[in-house]
Amino acid sequence: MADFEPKIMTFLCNWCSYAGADLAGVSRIQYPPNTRVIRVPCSARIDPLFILKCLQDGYDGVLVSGCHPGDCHYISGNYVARRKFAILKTALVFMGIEPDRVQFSWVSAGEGEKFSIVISKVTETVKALGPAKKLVKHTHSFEDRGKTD
Amino acid sequence: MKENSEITKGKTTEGTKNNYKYNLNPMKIYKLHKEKLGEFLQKLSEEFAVYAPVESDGVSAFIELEPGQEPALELTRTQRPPKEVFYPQTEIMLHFDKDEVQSTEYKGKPIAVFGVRPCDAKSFVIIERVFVEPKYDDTYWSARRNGALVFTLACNEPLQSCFCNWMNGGPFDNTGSDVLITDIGDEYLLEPISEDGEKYLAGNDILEKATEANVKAAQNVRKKAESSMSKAPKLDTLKETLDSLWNEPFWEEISAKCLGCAACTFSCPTCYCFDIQDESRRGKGARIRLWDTCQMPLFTKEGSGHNPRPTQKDRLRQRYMHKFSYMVETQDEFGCVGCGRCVSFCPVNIDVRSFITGILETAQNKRGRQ
Amino acid sequence: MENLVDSIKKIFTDENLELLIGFEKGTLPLCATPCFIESADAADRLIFDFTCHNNLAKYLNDEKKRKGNTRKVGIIAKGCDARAIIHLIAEEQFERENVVVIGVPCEGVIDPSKLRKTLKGKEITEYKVNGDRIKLIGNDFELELDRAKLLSDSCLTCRYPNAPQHDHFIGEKAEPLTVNDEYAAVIEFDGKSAEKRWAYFEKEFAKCIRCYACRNACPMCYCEECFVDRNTPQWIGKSNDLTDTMIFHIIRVLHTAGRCVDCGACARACPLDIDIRLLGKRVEKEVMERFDFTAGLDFETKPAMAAFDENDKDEFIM
Repeated sequence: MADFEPKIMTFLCNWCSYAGADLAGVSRIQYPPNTRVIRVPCSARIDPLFILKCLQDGYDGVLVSGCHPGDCHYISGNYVARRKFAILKTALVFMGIEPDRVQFSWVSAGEGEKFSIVISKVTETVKALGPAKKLVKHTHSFEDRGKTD
Repeated sequence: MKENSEITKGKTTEGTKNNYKYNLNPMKIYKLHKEKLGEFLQKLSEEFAVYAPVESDGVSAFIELEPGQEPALELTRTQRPPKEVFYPQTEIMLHFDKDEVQSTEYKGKPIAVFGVRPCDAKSFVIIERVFVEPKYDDTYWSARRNGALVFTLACNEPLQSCFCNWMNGGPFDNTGSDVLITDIGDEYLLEPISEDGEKYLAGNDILEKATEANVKAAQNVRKKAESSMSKAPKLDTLKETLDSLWNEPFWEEISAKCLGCAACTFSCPTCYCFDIQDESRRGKGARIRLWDTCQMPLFTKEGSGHNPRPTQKDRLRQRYMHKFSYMVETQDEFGCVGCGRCVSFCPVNIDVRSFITGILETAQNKRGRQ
Repeated sequence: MENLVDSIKKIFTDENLELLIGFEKGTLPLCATPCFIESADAADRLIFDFTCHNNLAKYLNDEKKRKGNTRKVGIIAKGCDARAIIHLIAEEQFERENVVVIGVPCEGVIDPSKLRKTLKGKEITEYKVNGDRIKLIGNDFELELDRAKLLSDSCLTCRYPNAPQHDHFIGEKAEPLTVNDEYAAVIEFDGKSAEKRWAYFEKEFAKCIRCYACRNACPMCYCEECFVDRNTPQWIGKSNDLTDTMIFHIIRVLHTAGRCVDCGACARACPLDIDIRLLGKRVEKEVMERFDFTAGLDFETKPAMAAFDENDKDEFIM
C-alpha cells in the first residue's frame, strides 16, 4: 500500500484553472505527477458521466476545477456547474463512494501556487484511500480470461 | 408435429396438439419421497451442474444450486425466465487482444434444469429451433444445451395469469422434458419422457417404483389443475386473422399505452433476439452477446437514420405478429408458451389474452358486416 | 368514484377536448390500466381508485411525439401526476392551453411489487376492501392485511395528494396519508456505514435486467435519444454488467434531479421489484434543502437545476 501511486483525472476549465496550472508550470512549482489533465472550455462542460466513466475506467480519483464564482469567462457557467456538482457529490457519497474520490476546486489563472497545493492535497487524500474498487469495470476485459462469467 | 398443418403461407394454426401421453403403466414411473429430494439433487450434482428455482433478495430465478441448497419448488413461476440457463442475458463470445482471439463457449459440467415448468420446458424447444438447424449451430447455445437434462415439474396450481392451455400446452404438458415430475403430496412421481430421462432414472437407487394408487393420485392432481384454468378460446384462425388485419386501427389503440420498455421481452421465455457488442479497453476486450428487444426504437434503426418501425404501434404489432403469425410459419406452432410473465409484469397491464380475444372478435364483427 | 363519469362527460364537452387520458379496469385484480378516450360517450369506461397506479403525465409526452402539440388533452391527475404535468409545462414541453388538468383526490395507490412480495409467488382471483383492511383471495388461500401495507412507499410519505394546480377537481380534496416522515427512510439509510450502503446498492442493482421500464414509466424521461442508447460515443455498455447498470441508475437520478416528483411510477414499473427510489429521494432532499425547490408546484418557477443563485453554498468545494 505504501508504494501505491493513485491515477487521478483532472478536468480544468480553459480560462482559469488551466491557466493557473500553466502558471504553476512556468513558475517551476513542484507538484505530484499522478494526475492527467483534460482541458474543457468551462466547468459547466463537465457532464457527471465524465466523472463516472473515469471511476469505471479505474481512476482512483477525479478532480474538477473551474473559475471562482463571479469570474466565469462565460458569465454563469460555473454557477450552473456548482449546482450540478453539489448534487453529484451528494448522490455518490450517499451510495457509499468515498467522498475524497471526487473533488472540486476553484482555481484562478493567477493562482499557480494554489493549483499545486490543490493537486498535492487531492493526491494525498486519494492515496490514503487506496486503489478504487467500487464502480471499476472488470468484466469483459482480457484479465478475466479463465473465469466463468 | 407437422401432421396437422402444412408449411405453406396462409395455413391455419392447428400446430402441435397436446402431445401428452400420460403413461398409465406404473412399471415405468418412479417415485421419490420428498425427504429424499436433497439426496436426489446431491447425486444429480455429481454429474451435472444443477439449476433450480431459487428466490434471493426478492427475485426468483433459475440459479445453480449450492451444495445442500433447497430449491423453491412451491413457486409456480420464476420472475426471471429459465431460458437464461442456456442463453444468459450477457454472454462473452470471445476474448481478444492484439495477439489472439479466444472463443469462450461454456465448458462446465453438463447442465440439469430441475423444477422447470411445462411452459418453460417447451420454450427451450422453441428457442432451439432458432439457434440450431442443419446449416447452422449456435455453439454458445449448444455448449450449454447439449447433454442437458430437463426435469419438468408439472403445475398443480396454475396461476391466474397462466394461459399455457391457449397455446396448445398445459400444466402437465411434457414437450421438451426428459422427465416429468408430479407432486402428489408427500412424494414426487417421476415419469421418463425421453431416452436420456429414462436412462438417468433407471440407474437411480434413491427412487422407488410408483404404485397404482400413486398414479391415480397423479391423475387426480392433473385433472384438478387442468380444470382450474380458464377455458381456451379456439385459436385455429388466429394466424390468418392477424395476417388479414395488418392495417386495422386497433393496433393504434392497444399500443397507445405501451411504454416501449423491455419488461415483456426480457421476461419472455421464447424471446431470443440479441445484440452483439464489442467492449474493449486499451487493446484488450471481449465480444459479448446480450438480450435485445424489438420494443425499443433502436432495434430497427438503420445506419442512415431511417427506422422501418418508427412508432410504438409498429413495434407492438411486430411482437404479436412474430409470436402468433411469423413463428407459426417458421416453426409450425405459436411462438408463445402462455407462461403469463408479460401479463403479470407489464407496467400498464397490456394483456396479450385480451389482445387475442379482441382481434378474433374484431374479425368476427367484420365478417358479420360483410 | 362517484360522479367521475358524469363529471368527465361534462368536462369533455365544455372544454372541447379531443383526447382524455384516464384509467379503466384492468384484466388482473387490483390492477387498473391507462385508457384513452376521444369522445364523451366513451367516458363510461373510466374509473378512479387506489388501483390506478400509473403516472399518466407520461402520455402527454407521447401525445406530443405522436400528434404534435395540437390537440386539447384532458388528463386525470392524482397529486403526483399533476405535479409532473405542472413541471413539464414549467420545462416548456407543451402549451399550457392545450392541457386540461382534472384533479382527483388520491389516498394512495397499490404497488404491484409489494403485492407480489406479499403473495410470495401466488396470484389472487379477487379482493375485498373493508375500510383500512383488505382481503386478498386466491384459489385456495385468503390473506387479510392493512391496506397501507400494499400502498406505494411514495404514497405513504406523500405531501401532495391533490393537484396543486388544476383546471377542474372532481370530489373532495384528500388528506395526505403521512406528512412528517417523508425522508425517514433516507435519513435512516444515511446512518449506515458507507460499506453497508454500497453493498445495498450493489445488491439491488445486481437484479436489474436493463428493461428500462423505470425510465419509460417516468414522465420526466422524454429525451429523443437517451444517453444509454448513444453509441458515438458509447457512454455505458448495454449488457447487465453491474458497473454499467449502476451508472445508468446514478445518471438517471442526476438527470431527473430537481424534476422528480417522487410519484413512484419507476419503482412500480420494475418487474424485479428493485428499490429504485432510494437514491432519487436523497437527491430530492438535497435539492429541497440546498436550493429551496420542490418540483411541480407552480407553472412559473424555474427548475432548480436550470437555475442558479450567486450565493449557492459551496462548502463541498475545496
